[in-house]
Amino acid sequence: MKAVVTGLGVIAPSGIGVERFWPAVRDGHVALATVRRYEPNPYPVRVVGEVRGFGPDGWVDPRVVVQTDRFTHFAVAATTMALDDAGLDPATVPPFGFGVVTASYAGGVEFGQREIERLWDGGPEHVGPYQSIAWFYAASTGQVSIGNGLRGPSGVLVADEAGGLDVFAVADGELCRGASAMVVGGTEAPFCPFSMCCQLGLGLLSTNEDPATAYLPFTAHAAGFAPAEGGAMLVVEDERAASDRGANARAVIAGYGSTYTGTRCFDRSAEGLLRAAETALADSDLDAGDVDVVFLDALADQRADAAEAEALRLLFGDRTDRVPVTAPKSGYGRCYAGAAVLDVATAVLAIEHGAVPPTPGVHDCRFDLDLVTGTARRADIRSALVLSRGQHGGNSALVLRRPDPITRGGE
Amino acid sequence: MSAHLSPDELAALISRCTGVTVTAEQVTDPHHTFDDLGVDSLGLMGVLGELQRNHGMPRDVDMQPDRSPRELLSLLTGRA
Repeated sequence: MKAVVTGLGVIAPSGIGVERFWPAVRDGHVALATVRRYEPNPYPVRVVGEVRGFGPDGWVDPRVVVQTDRFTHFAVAATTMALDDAGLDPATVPPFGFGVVTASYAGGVEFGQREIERLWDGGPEHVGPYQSIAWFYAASTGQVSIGNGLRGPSGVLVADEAGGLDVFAVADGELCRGASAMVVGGTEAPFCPFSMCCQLGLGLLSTNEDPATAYLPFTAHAAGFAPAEGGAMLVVEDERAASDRGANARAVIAGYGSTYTGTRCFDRSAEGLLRAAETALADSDLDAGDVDVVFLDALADQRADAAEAEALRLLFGDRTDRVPVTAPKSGYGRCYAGAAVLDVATAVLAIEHGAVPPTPGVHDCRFDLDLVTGTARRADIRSALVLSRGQHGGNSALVLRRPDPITRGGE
Repeated sequence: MSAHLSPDELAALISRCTGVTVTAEQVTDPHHTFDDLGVDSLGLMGVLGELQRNHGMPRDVDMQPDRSPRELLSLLTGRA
């Protein structure tokens, strides 16, 4: 059994839809800017990656719009894009064989902030009834399930940022247990003061006010990341089911590994990332020598960057400075549980286009790594390794493989 | 604050609170229940809350989605 990606739906600061997202990422476009969704004064974080020009109209049923937060609007819209991209009508899949699993970090915080303001200003009777469902981490999974009639195994992972890779392992497990297709992903919309203030104490967000230099992972200037909103939803199918309906397998979910090394112990994440990557490669029947590109976690914290570089040195040994590595998210920000999902979508596109997108804004990597900068680099990518860490100690790795040439009619 | 609300005003309020586009005709037709219109119990709770907060409707009024907007309108115009 193999899980294959057949559809991508992307909503990112760099672009809405794959057809806009990929050229922007490939060309190293910087989509970071001063926050507009709320008045930044008096908060210290100014530079963020906002999804501009997105409204739920046309994507989300008006009834669902009033019941849900922006992070759910993103998930519902991205799912529609992914199903369309996969050419898959859910009605053609056995009703209990199609599920959805999402990763969530922030939940419906913007909706929640609005209702808390009403509670504060007017009292309990001013809080709307939809607060009960809109804030909830599972809201996106639920609305995607209801809206598309997906009655198969479904859930939500609230597993910090690395949950964006963990969801692919969950989906793979459900396909092994008999599901034929899964919608998999994560979207975030954390831009309200309540949500952002919750994170200030971590000391990981960049307070640099210049969009050109706010998020520079792996450099001597690294001083935190720029937060982002958005994410991606993917259609992942059992290879056999996809082949039977004549669908194009875009990439194989080949292997996965995960470890935990403790809250804010970034020194220890070197070993954690290494073991996650080794597990994912073993799960893929590959070894480190097979990796053609690495999509980096890129926290842009001095200790965390050093730990990630150390994990790569331990994994690749003498080959460390010859394996292309990249962090496209430095161009649009880090959208929490949606960040690694966007990296998976980007890895699929990189495999298809034979190009490694650059790490925008970074020119002076302080480690002995082959960090791709400037413009995209042409590459024959058979295997891609995606790394993700949570702020609180999760380390996950996922391996994507280019599908073998199609061999129809045989086992 | 007046408890009086025209069919147009009630239709607009329901549309705003629930996302379901409702017309004045639907609000006055006794054969349309909230269920029929696609307004669920949470949606109706939001409508009642709005009427209680801003349109003087008594706090003890409760209604389920198997009732019609026309019945709600009657309560508001005192012609129940």
